[in-house]
Amino acid sequence: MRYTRRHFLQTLGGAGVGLALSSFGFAASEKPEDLHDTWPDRQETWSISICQQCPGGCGIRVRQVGGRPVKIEGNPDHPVNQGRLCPKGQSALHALYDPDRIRTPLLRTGKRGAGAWKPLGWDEALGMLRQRLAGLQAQGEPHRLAILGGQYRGFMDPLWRRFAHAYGTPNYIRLNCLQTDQAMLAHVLSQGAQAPLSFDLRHARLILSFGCNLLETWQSPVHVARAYADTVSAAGGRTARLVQVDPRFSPTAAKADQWVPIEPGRDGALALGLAYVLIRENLYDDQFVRNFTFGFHDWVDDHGVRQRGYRSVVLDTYEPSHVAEITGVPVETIIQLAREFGARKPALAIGSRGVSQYSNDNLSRLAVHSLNALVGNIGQKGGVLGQNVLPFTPWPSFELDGAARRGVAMPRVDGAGQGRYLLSTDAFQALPQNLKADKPYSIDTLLIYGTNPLLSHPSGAGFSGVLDHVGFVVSFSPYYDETAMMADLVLPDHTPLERWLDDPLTQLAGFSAFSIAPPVVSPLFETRSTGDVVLRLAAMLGGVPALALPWKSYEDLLRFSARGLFEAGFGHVISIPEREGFRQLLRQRGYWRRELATFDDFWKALVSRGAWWDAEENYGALAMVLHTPSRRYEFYSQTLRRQVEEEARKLAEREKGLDVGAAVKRLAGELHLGQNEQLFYLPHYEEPSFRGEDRSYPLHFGSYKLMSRYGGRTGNQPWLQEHPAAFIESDWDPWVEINPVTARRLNIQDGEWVWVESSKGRLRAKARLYPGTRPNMVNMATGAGHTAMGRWAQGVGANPNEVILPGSDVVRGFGTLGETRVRIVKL
Amino acid sequence: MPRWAMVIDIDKCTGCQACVLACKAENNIPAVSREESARGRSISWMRILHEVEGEYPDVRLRFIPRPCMHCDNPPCTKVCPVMATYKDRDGIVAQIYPRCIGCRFCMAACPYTVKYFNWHTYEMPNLQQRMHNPDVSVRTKGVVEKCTFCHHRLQRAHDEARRQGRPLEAGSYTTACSQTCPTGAIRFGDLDDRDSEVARLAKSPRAFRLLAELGTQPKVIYLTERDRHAT
Repeated sequence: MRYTRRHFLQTLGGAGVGLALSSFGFAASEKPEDLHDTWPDRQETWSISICQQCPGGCGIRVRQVGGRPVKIEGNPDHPVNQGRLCPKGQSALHALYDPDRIRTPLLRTGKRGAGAWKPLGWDEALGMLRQRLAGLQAQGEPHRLAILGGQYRGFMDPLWRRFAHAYGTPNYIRLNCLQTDQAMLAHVLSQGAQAPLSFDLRHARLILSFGCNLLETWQSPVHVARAYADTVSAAGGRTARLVQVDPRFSPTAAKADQWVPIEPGRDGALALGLAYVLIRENLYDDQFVRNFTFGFHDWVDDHGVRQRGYRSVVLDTYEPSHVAEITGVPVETIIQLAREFGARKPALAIGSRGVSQYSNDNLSRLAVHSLNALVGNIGQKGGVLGQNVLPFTPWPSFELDGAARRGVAMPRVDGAGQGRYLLSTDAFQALPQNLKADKPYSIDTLLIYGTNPLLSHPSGAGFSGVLDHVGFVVSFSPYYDETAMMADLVLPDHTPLERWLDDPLTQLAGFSAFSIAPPVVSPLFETRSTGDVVLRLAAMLGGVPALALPWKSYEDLLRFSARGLFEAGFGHVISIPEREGFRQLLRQRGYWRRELATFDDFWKALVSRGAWWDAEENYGALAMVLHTPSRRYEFYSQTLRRQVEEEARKLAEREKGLDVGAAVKRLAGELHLGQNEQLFYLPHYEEPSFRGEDRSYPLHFGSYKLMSRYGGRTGNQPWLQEHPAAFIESDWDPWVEINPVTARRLNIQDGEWVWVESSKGRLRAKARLYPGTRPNMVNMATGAGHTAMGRWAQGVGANPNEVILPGSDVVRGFGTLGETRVRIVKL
Repeated sequence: MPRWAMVIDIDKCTGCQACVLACKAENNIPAVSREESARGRSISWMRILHEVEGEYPDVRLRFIPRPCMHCDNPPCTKVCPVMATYKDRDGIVAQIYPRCIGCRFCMAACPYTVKYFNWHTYEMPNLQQRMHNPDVSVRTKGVVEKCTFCHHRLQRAHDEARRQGRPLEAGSYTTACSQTCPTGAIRFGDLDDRDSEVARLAKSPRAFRLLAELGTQPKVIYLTERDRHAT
C-alpha cells in the first residue's frame, strides 16, 4: 500500500480514516502477518494493566483502537503512580510490537549460539522438556535440574519455587540485584525483618540518601517523584530537605537540596562519623536508644565476656577529622549534616543501591541504618516502617516423595546459605565456576526465566562458556536476547500485555497493594505465558508436582490466591479518588465496609480496576518492625553472631584441626566483617577492595542505571535508545563521563572516542566531559552493548560488564560492581 | 475561547524525559535510525535542554523541557511562503503538512529551535506501525513538523462539547506531556481563566518566558528554580 496524497488529506480531515505510513514494499524479515493495515474499526477502548518495564509497580491504562493497543497512560486510580508514568512506561508498546520477537518454540539445530533454529509446535516442545525432566526423576537425580530466575515480583516466584521443590531440586536460583521483594539484609540483621521495610519519604523532613538514585531508578521512580513533588510547596519552598551523598553528581544529586560528594565506597565511614557527632553532642534520641535498642553501651554476654557497644566503638574510632580523611567529606560538612540530622525530625537515612557496589556493602548499610535507630526514627511517621502482609489464600500443602526429599536436601549448586554466601538467599556469582567444576554435582538441565545474565552480569562471558557443559538449556525469553541465543530449547513467553500480570507491593510506605491485570490483547504470535507453561509441565509430569500445582492456568492460580483478599475483612479494590476519600474518612473512625458482596463481584472489580489495596499507615507499631532475639533494635546483631557461630561450628566439625574460634575468624573474613573480633557484629567501616593497581589503572570505574533503561531488557525499544539521558549530550552511542580536568590531563576532547580499559578487558565509548564526575573516577550507564536482541539493540552502545571485575558480594551473591579501576586510552 | 498555555516548573523537573517519550507515542514520531540520530536528525517535539555549570564539586545542573512556545506573535508563521504554518483559532501555532514545501524558513526563524525537518520518510517496521495513534497524521520526507499542544486532543474536546451542546470548558483537555509528568512540573490550561492553575502560576514571581525580549509572546511560561541552599 502506498501512502498517497489522498490518504494524507483523509487523515487531516478530522473524522477521516487515519492511514499510517507504510513502507514501500516490505523487508525480508517481515512476515505477512506483520503487514500493516487499517484499524479494524475505530472503536476506542481502555484496559488496565501493570507496567513491567521496571520493578516500580505502576498501574497503567492501555488505549486501544479497534482492539489494537496504541498508547499507554498511567492509571489515575493506582496508588503507586496516580496516573503518571516515566519514559520507560511510555515506551512499553515497543515491547509488544518488536518485529524481532520469538514467534514459536524453537529447537537449536546448529552450533550453540549460532542462531540456527527449527520451529516447533508447543506439544512437541513441551513433550521434549517433560521427557527430559521425567528421565532425571527416574534416575533419582531431580536435583540436577536448576532454574535460574531473574528480577520479578508476584506469583511467578512462589510458582517456580514450588515447582522446584515438588520436583525435588534445591536449585531455584534468582539473579536479583535489586531485591525489591526481599527484606534488606541490614534490616534482617538489625531488626529481624522478614519482609521488605519501607521508607516513609513523604513524611520525612530530612532524607539523607547514601547513593540511592531516588529520582531515577530506586524502587519505584514515579512513586518517589510524586513524593518529591509533594515536598515542594506552591511558593517554591521545600517542606523537606533531600541530601544526596554520592561520588557522582547524578540527576538526583542535582535535584537534592544538598549534594555531598564522597570517595567511592566510603559511605559507611561517613554514616559513623555522623553517629559520632550525634552521640558526642547528645543529639540522639536517648529514650528510644534506652528503651528499644540493644548493644548501644558495652555489655557482658552469656559467657561472661565483655562486649563492646556501638557507642564506645563510634566514639573511639570515627572522630570527624579521621572520617574526613577517609571519605573526602570536610569536617564542617560532617558536623553540619549530623546536627541537621539530629535536629530536623523525622530524619531518614537510606542506603541501598549506592552502597551496594562495594564489598563493605552490608557494613555500610548497617552503619547508615544505625542512624535511623539513633534518632529513634523506626516505626515512626517519616521513618522506617513495617508493612502489612498481603492476606492471600495459602496454597494447599503437599508431601514430597522419597526421591524429591533426597533431592531438595542436596546442597545448592550456587552455594547460597553456606560459607561465603551464608547470608545470601541466592549466589549467581558462584554459579559459572561451580557449573564448570561440577561442584557439588553436575547440572543436567537449566531453565532460564526472566533474566539475561550474558548481558547483565559481569560474569556473563564465563557463564556463556559453561552452557555447553550443562546438558540442556531452556530459555523462556520472548526475545532473541544473548542468553536465549545460547539455549537448546526456547519456549517463548508472552510479552506483558499479552498475559496475566500480578504484582504484590509491600515495599512502599503507607500501603500494601496487590495489582493484577488480565491480558490486554490476544497473543500476536505462537507464544505462551510461562506461568501456564510451568503449570502444564507439572501436570504432564504427574506425581508430586501435579499435586502441588493443581491449577489449570495461571489465571486460576491468581483467582485462588486472591480469594484471601476478599475474605480479609480489610482493604479495598482501588477506586476513584472521591470514593477513596470517603473510605479514608471511615477508616479514620474505625469503620470498614465490604464493598462487594460476592467473590465473583470482587474478582470482576479487581481485574477491571487493577488493584486491591490496604492503605494502613503503621505508625508507632514497633512490634511490627522489631523481631530480633532481644525484641529490640540491635546495634550489635545477635542474629548475625548466631548465624556465623553456627556455620563456624559446622565448618570446624568438617575440617580437622580447625577450632571454632579460628573458623569464626575465617568466616568473618569471607563475609567482609574485618579482622577485629570485637567489631564483627557491630556496624563499622572496612575498606572496599578495589581491583587493579593505582599506577596502571588510576581511575575508579562507576556504573549506574539510567532512568530510561532497566537493565538490558529495554534495548529493543528504539525511542529509549534514541534518548537515553537528558543530563548529558547523548544518543545511541555509548559514553563515558570524565571530569574535564582529568580529560585535559589526558588530552581528551569532548565527544572523542576512547578506550576504557581494566585488567579484565576494554570497551569503546565516547568521552563526555561532565563536571559532575569525581576527578579520580569515570562513570558509565549500564544496560547497553547488546550482541543480540534484534535490530535496535544489537551492536548498539557498550556494556560496562566488559571491564567490570566483580568483587565477592556476600549480600546478594550478585557481585560488587564498583570496585574496578580503569584507565582511559585515546583511540 | 480559552487561551491554551503551559507552565513548566524548572524546579520540579527531574529531567526524566517521560514527557519526551509520551509525546513520541502520542504523536506518531518515529525513532530515526542510529546513523540519522548521530547527524542530529532525531525528531523530538518535546526536548529536555540541560545546562551544567561549575566545576567539581560545585556543580549545578538544570533541566528545561522545551516544547513549541506557541507564541502569540510567532516569527515562524510570518516567513512561511505557502501558509503551511499559521496561528489557528485556538491560538495554537499549527502546521499543515501537505502544504509544506520543505523550505525550512520557519526553522530558521524560530528562536527556540522547536521545528524539525523530515530528512527521509522514516519507516517503521510494519508491526510497529500498529501502535500509530489514528488521531494524528504521519509525516513524510521534506516536511517540517513540531509540537501541536496535542491539537488532536483539543479537537476531540471540541467535538465532545459540540455533541453535548455546551461551550468548550477549560480543563477539558491536557497534553500528553503534562498528563504523564511524574512530578507535575508541566501544567496545562487556560491562561485567560483567572482561576485556572496556569493563570495563577503565570503570575508567580518565579515566572519568566524564554527569550521574552524578542517580543514573541510565548504561551509557555517557565518557573525558575528556587535557591537550593536556603533551608
